[in-house]
Amino acid sequence: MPNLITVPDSVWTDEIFLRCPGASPAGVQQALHNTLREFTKQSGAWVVELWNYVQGDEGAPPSAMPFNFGPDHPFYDFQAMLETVRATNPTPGEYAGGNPTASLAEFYTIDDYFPWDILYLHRMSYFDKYTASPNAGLQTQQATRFIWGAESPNIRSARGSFAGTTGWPAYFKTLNERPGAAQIIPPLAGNMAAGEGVVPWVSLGFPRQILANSIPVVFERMWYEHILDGALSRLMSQQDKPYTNPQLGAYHTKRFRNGIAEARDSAMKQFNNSESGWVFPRWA
Amino acid sequence: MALGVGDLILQVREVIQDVGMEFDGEGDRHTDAKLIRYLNTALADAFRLRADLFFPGVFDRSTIPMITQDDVDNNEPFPVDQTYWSAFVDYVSGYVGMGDDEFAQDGRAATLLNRFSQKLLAKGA
Repeated sequence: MPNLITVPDSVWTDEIFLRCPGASPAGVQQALHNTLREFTKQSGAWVVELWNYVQGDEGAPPSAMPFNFGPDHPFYDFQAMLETVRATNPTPGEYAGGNPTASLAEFYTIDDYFPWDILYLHRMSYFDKYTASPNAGLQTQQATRFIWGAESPNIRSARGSFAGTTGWPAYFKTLNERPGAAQIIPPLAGNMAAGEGVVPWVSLGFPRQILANSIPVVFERMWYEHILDGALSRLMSQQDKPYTNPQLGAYHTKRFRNGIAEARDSAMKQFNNSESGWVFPRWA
Repeated sequence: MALGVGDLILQVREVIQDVGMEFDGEGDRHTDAKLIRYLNTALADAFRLRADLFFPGVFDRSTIPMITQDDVDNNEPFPVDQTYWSAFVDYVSGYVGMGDDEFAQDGRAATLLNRFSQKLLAKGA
């Protein structure tokens, strides 16, 4: 994944080896990656915005397309994926109902976002041309509307999501219902070619496979201690190892659980529906 | 410098005092083939007790490595993390001691074999 800032595993493993003498390198890495997987799955705290690739902006300078970062963007893979799906639609941006087979190709499909798993789809913003501004430089894509409601693969909301409202994409599970997969109907009257699109906010999780010794830097900056506690608890809780330590294992497990709760609480505040959009800092 | 399987066999010979004499003109008391068989037995036992020592990478299961005479002659790298090097020296040395019929060696052999499992499974040792 280009331009995604990462740190090596050794940020954690060096510390783990000090605290768990006798642990094998593969065993430490396995504990670390299982910890990252559990942390992301249970906290949902690693939220990223997947910007939609906007057709027709390829030749524009970066300054003119604030929401389209091009191939250098870390999550450009997703942009290209959406574009590929949309390219099969003879009338981009318009949903032709009535024929399930034909309509299926007009969905945006969030599916198997390699190498990460998409765990939760928190919300989506819809942006379109901001033509009211007299400044031509600002007449580009602007986020104008937000779609509320967390709809997550595997987790249904009793409220459902908006469907059939002009200009607002809806989220469905349809034929691809399985973990990590979701389908989004494009705006009924949206004009993708004119620079309109959607931005899903999703929580990403770690897959079960090794990630080439690279961890996104956010885990080191924000949740270093939590991840360390989780890996130590996994190792020390094993039986009959030189580093077995039930007392310390329980201690680190408790700290890890608290870390998950803290990260989850912090992430939830990004999606509140209070009157103010102000997110109160944790330290205040 | 990475420790090789040839180094391990040599170190075992030093423990069991089988490095030969310059003047006796005779070969080693224990053959390489026998020590290699014991070493492979040690690897199989270690795999049962500590499978994580043999995983080359995360979630990548491995198989029990088998050492051959060529590996010893070429001093190929030891296939287990070197922090557990001495445990395998203990095991092979202990197995050789178990085969000796001098009763004076029995206690030493049992100690060496116990140290193998203790190093793999417990603190200290």
